[in-house]
Amino acid sequence: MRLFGMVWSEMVRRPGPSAAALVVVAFGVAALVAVESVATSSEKRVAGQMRTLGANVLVLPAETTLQDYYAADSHGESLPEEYASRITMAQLKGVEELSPRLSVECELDESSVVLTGVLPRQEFYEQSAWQSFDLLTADIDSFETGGGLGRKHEGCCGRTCQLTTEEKRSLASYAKTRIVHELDRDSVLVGADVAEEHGFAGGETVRLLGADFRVAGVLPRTGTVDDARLLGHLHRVQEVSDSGPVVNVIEVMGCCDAMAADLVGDLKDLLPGARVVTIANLVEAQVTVNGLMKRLSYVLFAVLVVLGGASVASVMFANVSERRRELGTLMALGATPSTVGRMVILKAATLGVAGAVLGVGLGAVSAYAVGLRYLGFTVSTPPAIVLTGFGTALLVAVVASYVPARRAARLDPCTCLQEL
Amino acid sequence: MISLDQVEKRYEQGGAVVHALRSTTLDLRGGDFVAVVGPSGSGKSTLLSVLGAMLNPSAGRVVLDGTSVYEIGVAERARVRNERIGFVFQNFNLVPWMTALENVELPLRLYGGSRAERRGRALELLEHFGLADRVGHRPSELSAGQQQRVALARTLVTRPTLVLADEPTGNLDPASRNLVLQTLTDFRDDDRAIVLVTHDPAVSRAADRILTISDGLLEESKAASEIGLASDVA
Repeated sequence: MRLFGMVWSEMVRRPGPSAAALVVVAFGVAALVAVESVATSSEKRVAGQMRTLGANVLVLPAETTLQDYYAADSHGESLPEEYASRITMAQLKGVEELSPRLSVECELDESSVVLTGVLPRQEFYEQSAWQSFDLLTADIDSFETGGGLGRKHEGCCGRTCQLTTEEKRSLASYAKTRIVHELDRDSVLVGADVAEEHGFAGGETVRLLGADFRVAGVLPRTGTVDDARLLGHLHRVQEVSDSGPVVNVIEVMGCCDAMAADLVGDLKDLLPGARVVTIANLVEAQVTVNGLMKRLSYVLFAVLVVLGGASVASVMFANVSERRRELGTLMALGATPSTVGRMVILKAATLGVAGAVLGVGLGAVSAYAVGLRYLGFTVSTPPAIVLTGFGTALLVAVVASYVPARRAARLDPCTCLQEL
Repeated sequence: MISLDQVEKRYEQGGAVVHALRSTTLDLRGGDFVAVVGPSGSGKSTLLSVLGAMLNPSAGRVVLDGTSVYEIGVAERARVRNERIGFVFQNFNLVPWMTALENVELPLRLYGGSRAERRGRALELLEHFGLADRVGHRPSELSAGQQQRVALARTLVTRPTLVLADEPTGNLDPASRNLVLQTLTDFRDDDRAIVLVTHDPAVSRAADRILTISDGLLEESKAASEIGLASDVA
């Protein structure tokens, strides 16, 4: 503590020589923290988007841009509902579930909510079977285990094909399947957030787009946009919104990512007028940017180590050289060589910590500002990145000061004191 | 107090051996005030460094208060320097970024002690040297005489038993020089010996014993009073 007091006094009263190293370390740490923070937040955002989007293949109207879909799936563009039946009847390999959806905005207790029309699974299969002679005689259960949709097959790693029929029928499995099994035309299911906000528990009547709906139940929390929505019967939503037999999107649960990748080509061939994308496509740009930022952070890490280390070493060498008489005097007054060496290392460590404090602050604020101004999302700096910044700066400073400290400890006080 | 027994210091320089100090034997007791005179390069500073536990001799023993200072560890020797030896330098060697008070406190700060105790002792000495109104000043804000008084206060703050002064008046005006010599004379007592190195015969007159050194060879001279030189110091 006594040594630190002396080191701190010297740095505060003679800030000039240390300032350059402090600036280099601070900027190095700031750049590292900022880039790491943005990359980490972006990764979290991508993961969140993937969770929110739910399906791993999306069939969208050709005019819809990916950016539109990020904003909301109630993008105004539509495609024929009949596309869903086409997919079903084509019995494409790897399709676990389908969910054609139409989302419209409406008022609920003077607040704006999204009403999403979905086709209940039971009705969807009945409709598909009616349109296909091969499936005409198949009941739902045999269809689920032996037909195209929902059947188990080699390489299956999806979420829905592992469930039993009973589990699939349960509302509780919605978070996994995103499929509603049964739903009356005049009923709605409410998302967890909507239920919480409006106090719905089931049995209430709500008025949406001029029509009354009974609240049939509350969906389990999914962590997706569905938590803030009401789900109604697709055909009833089409009626009350005057949309006609269209949907905004057909969500396809592919069996796994690899299967989903093969599906895209098949779906494109099947539905030439639609845009078929995978979740990987949707987030591809962001994933690429994240990868670049990760690599950039490694480069910055290397720059911090090399430039920061060189700067600290240079400042400490100069410091030892300039203070030869002072250090010689200290030795004459009773300081041991190790005390003098420790003073040099302590000074470098103080520089490292001070640089890290400045750098972490600057980096976190910069990352936050960049996120807000240019990226459109909040960038936070996790504690692990703060620790990395501090640890790196401290380690670099201490390692860089080792040789100057040794030189200081080996000073000959007799020679130093005779120097003018 | 301190004794040098057959102490030698040799350097190798360009393949040749330089005898900075030749077989030197010296015995100093408490109350001694010894001046060492000699021309530049004669070995004065080497002698002072050896006495000050800073320069390991090539041969011989240096014993301070019963401790053979070059037969103990580096850390222990540093502690001996801190507690028992005080240095006064020609160039004062004050730490430039410290105040006068902090400079005086410095030797005590190296090995602990309470802050209040350190500060009290340092202030007492600065007051003694008439620098009570200069405690917060840095060396660059003090005159040469004031700086040397601060350096003297720093030397005496640990109550050393041996004070080694290397040309302490070399950069001072006559008034300041007299004050420094007077201080050294005053602080000599039964427990403290003073060795003053100078090439100025006038300064050496303040001492009781004068030793001359030439080409590394130390010889006893007559006392200043015996050789008929009146001291400039009152």
